[in-house]
Amino acid sequence: MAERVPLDERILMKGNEALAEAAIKAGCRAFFGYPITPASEISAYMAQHMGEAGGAFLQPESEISSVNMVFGAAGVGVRAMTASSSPGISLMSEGISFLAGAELPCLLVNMMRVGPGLGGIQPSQADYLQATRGLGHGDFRVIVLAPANVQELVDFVFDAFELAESYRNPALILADGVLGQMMEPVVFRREVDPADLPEPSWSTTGATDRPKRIIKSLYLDPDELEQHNLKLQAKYTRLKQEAVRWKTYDAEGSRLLIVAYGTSARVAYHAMELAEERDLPVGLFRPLTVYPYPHEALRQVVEEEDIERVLVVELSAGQMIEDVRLAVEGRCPIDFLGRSGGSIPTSLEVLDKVRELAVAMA
Amino acid sequence: MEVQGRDRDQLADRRVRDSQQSPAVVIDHPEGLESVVTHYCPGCGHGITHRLIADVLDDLGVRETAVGIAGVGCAILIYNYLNCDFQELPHGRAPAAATGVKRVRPDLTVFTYQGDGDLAAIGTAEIVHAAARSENITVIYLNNCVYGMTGGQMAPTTLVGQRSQTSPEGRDPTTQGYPIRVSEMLATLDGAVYLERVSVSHPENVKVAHRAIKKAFRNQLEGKGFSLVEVLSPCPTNWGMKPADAMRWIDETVSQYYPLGVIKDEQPVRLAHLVEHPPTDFQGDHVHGFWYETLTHPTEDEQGRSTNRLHPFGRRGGRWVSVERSRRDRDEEEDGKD
Amino acid sequence: MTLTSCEALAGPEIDSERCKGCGLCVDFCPFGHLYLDELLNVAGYHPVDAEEPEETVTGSAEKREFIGNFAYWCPRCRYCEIICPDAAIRVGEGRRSHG
Repeated sequence: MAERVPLDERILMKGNEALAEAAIKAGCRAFFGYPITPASEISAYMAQHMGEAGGAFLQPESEISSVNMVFGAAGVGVRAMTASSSPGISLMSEGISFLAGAELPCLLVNMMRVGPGLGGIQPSQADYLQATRGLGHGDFRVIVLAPANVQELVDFVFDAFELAESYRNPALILADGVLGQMMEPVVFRREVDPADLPEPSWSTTGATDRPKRIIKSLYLDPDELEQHNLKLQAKYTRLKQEAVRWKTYDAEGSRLLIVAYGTSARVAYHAMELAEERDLPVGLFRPLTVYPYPHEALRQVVEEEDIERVLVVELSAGQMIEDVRLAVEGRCPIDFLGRSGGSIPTSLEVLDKVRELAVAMA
Repeated sequence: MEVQGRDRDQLADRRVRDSQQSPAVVIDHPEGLESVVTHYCPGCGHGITHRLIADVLDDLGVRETAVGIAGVGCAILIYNYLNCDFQELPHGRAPAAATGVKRVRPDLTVFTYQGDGDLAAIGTAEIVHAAARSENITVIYLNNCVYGMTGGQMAPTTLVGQRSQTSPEGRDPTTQGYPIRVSEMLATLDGAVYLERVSVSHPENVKVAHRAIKKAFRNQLEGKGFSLVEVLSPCPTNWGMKPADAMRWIDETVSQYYPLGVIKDEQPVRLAHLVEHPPTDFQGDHVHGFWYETLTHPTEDEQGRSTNRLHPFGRRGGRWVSVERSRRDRDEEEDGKD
Repeated sequence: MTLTSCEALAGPEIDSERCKGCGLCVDFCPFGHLYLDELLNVAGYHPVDAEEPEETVTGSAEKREFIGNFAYWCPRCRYCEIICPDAAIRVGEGRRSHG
């Protein structure tokens, strides 16, 4: 067996593998995943290392089975996860709805690829709306974290498990094929021993010396179900107040604000630097959580910095732009730059767009 | 079933007498069965089967470490009727959740309770693969040849010619195919260890069902692997029959297509055994894996070596070959040199 | 919980509020001692009830034979109890009031 990665050492790692290692270090002891490009390395790493960490690894027959196995394991209080890419996440819809309805914490990972349908294996950000609004039927949301580099991929795994447990809700890491495949230096700063985690009050671990517990999402009485739904909504309200995260770069003094997340934020960041070299005042707003989305923070930045124009950059035909519109609420025009086939815009392409907008703003 | 005429007043008198003279008699249920009155139709087989499971859980002393996984169907509310921990999963996915639980908590007694729509339609992948992996779980599979909860549609198990909501003229095999015998189908999998089909159509059959369910649970406690009991069960409401007639229909018709009895009771060779007792031609070559010709109970020759029909394979000269073939090639080479 | 029980001999004990009147026990009782009551229980079903054996020795030799050997009335095959989907009937000891 390959050796596991020590703590506090800077090491070059592939995104998918770093994510898997982070999960094991975060106390994850159940991984069920079906192979799919560009996420398969996560399964392979887990196949090699989960056993020696004392956890369960299994490659099941489909993504549908994967998410339902996660349900079973999460239901007995184990940190459980699955990882897939866009088509596989679609298959998990029903299971994710059940996880949310049954209030089970777990980690889901989507290494986005181009769609729709079989699409391609190149990276994409076209599952944004799926992740933030449409992961499954019913009135529920999933906590969605959007890393932009391998270190964040690692750190967000710890955050995701903690958020999932404290809100009793599934959490999803929304990354793309680039992040999964790239190699970057990363440091693992902590390790969680599952034995140190508190025993949940709801897990179905056998009714020894206690009344039986039922983990379910079925409530046939409409009043009871309404109460249950209101309880879920209260959770999402608290999430919006407590768990939103974002970063701003050079917004002060900028007239144009780029809003982007993940890989497109990396490109936008470099374009911003290039723009500043050319005396074009450009800032960048990067959400780290896309559910809950930092609408309020974005609105504040646009207002306080007198932003005249917003440019949204995504690897899609435009999905996060809807949240940007909600945040900006017509205060200024919003433009868009995106690619839909899996090609990633270069920073020069973004710079060209910025120049074009600067001309319009002059 | 006859309703004999009785004088109302006489009855009323008798009841009053009873309550005065007999002490209150409590029908005690097994600890594993809740005293809630079920929502099932009169004459439904679920009630009988639930009682058997409750009995077995108590008998084997595993009620407190049991986790049931409810499938979706009429028996979705089984968690209200059995007194143990339960998880409620989407339609067909119970074996996956059972796997998730058992893999992280092998100490728990994990069972699924699924109907024929759940297990044999939408859940075919899950049950086949749980059986193929020989997950050490117990599956109670209720086959009533129809989709009960949703109002009597055709199921994968509906008999040819049987009428239902979606086969109003009777199941037509030319457009709707043939019923699936799940137990026989799973028997082709080496990982399926114990498969028995029983029915609850007669008290004597119920006794057999009780034994089978007990064995299926005991197998799990003994770590033997995947065990499934297929229970032929009546659905008087959707069959359009009185309960007693429904029971007769099981005996006369349903069990002709789905024969009762043990379909399989055989453990595959476990890998640990292979390592301990490698096949006779094992020595000497670098083996990457084994190709199983058959998996049966281990057999040995007079020297105590395993005679399982296992074919080791490995790499020789940059190619994947069977070890047997590679030895032949090597022997021929050496003969050629002489 | 309303119960009827055979007053004098071992026999079926019935929880008539649990009973759904499915009639399976009536069908399977080898001695035909069970029947569905004309009355309804709270759920709207006709619950099962057990015939009472004759308490006095009268009439034909058959009846005398019945009374003479208590076991013949309910030999405790427990078919009713085994087949009941609602755990509404069981074979109990009853009270023996014959000498």
